[in-house]
Amino acid sequence: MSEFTESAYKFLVIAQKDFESAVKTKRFIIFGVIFVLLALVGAYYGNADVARSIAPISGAPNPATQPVNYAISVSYSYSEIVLTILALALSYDALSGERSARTLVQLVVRPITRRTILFGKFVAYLAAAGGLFVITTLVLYIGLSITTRTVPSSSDVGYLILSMGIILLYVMSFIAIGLLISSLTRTSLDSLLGAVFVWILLLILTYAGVALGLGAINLSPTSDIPYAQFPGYAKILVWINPGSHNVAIQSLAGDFFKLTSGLNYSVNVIFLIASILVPLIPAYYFFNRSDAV
Amino acid sequence: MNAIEVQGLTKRYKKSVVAVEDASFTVPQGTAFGLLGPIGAGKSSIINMLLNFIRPSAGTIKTLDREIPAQFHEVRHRIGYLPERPGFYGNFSAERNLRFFANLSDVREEREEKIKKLFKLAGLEGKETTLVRAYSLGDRKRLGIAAAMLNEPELLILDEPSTGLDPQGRRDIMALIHELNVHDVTLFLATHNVRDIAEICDVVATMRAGHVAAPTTTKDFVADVRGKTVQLEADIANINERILQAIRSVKGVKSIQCEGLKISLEYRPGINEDVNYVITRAGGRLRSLHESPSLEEAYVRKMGGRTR
Ligand SMILES: Nc1ncnc2c1ncn2[C@@H]1O[C@H](COP(=O)(O)OP(=O)(O)OP(=O)(O)O)[C@@H](O)[C@H]1O
Ligand SMILES: [Mg+2]
Repeated sequence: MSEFTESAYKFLVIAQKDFESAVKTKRFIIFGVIFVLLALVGAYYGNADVARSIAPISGAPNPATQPVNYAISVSYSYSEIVLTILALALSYDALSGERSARTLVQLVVRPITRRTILFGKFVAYLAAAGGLFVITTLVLYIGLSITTRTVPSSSDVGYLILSMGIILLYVMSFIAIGLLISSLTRTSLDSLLGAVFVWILLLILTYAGVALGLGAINLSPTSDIPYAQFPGYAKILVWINPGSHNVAIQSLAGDFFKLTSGLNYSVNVIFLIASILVPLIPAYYFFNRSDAV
Repeated sequence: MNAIEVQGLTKRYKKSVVAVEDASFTVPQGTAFGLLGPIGAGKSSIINMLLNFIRPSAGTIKTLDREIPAQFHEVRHRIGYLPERPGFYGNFSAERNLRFFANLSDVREEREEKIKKLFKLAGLEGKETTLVRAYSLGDRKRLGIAAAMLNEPELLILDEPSTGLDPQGRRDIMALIHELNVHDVTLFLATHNVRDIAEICDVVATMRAGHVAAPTTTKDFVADVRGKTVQLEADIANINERILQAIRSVKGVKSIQCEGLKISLEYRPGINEDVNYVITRAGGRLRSLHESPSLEEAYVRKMGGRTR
């Protein structure tokens, strides 16, 4: 076998093992069930909104013309936080857990690179968390179309697929954050503390950014926060959180002109991709340098 | 050729703890090399450096003619490793674990046959589909050996293979390891058990507080530990003059004390079996036969009762 097929094969071996392990964990089952329930509840309320024909919200799908996409957007807003918690819960001790279970030495004595181990895990957790999301969303979409007897337009289906791609990028950024935490800690407990810390830190930074930004322009909070008018430091605090670039709901509406966090659509997508790479590169660096015991 | 060459190897943890200091030794190919030292002597630290798990603070390592750590990736497929407490994926069956490690070790052809053979070799037949988290430490060690043998290594590095096992499990594991050495696998074995050394190793280097002494042959080492004379205590159900006569005929016997039947004789390897043989041949029903002091007791005495 060539060197490339060789490492591609090992990559699949790792990914398959970690996928199997991940879906058997209690955390996957617990957060997975919560995610599915919230997605269902969201879809139910979204559908109820459509029946009451409420007024369209800026950026969101129009309940009158895009009823199924609208219900899915409400489902997203209910469930996406739990999905990111699931992504983090799978990955936060991926590497430190192998070290404390003493399986890491059994891996690195064999012909395999640490890069392969890291990316195998990345893909495994994406398949677990992302797979659950994709299946849930497709089932809801088809279910909603059937129960409401609506045939979504082909562009609405296209918007759905695009929005799922955005959510998957969002999930990947949390897997990358989890892998970084896991490369910096030695025990699973430290990793857990690290994950909780990062989670809270991201929230605090976002709230601080919004508060500082609103304070700087002397405005009280409204539903439409004028991020574009914020001073630079407040914008940066908001932009650090991958969630501030989550443009899934406006993708569902096919609205590519609305600003999110003061940025236009394509810049948000670039920021989302960056928030995957920014933790992943140091995760690789630290994992590569760390002791195997 | 040497399987391992170590020069001036030093490991410091966080500047202050010196786990290994200026260690130098060589392990010729085909030998069974024992590193004997008490808890905390630095044995695992040496193994961890040989296997590129941690980086040396100073010194050089050559394994199978390659520089470690720089060229470790060129030789790792020729090395097997048994950790002190082997780690496996507890949610997977033993078989699934071995299959996973086999795939990483490039075992493609006849993978299933090989795994089957290793389960048999390790004495784990019938436990293939058991989840590893239900495995005892002894079974984990057996599975660890199976995992270490997947790639048919030329060099097998074993960290405390007998620790934490019951007498039967210990005997099985040590027999298994010895068998591998007979078939030309070079062994590097770290242990705090002097019996492991006596049973398996050709050469031994003692280690204490980070310092590795010059290696000697196990024969010389054992002779040095127990001195020239050994006492055997025998318990024979039907002791009679014929049996005593037979014992007196064994080469090297100095005196026999009939009270409790204590036999003093010149030590040589296999003396135990020789005495056992003549007693049985003379019709004696041997209930027990043991050395007094045992090798372990003699070793502890020689070390001045220190465990560190
Ligand atoms: N990661 C570490 N950080 C700090 N000190 C360490 C570390 N690992 C080992 N040590 C110390 O280095 C010394 C040697 O440890 P090592 O594990 O190599 O000994 P050992 O001979 O294998 O002992 P054991 O019989 O317990 O396995 C000990 O004093 C130990 O406390
Ligand atoms: Mg040790």
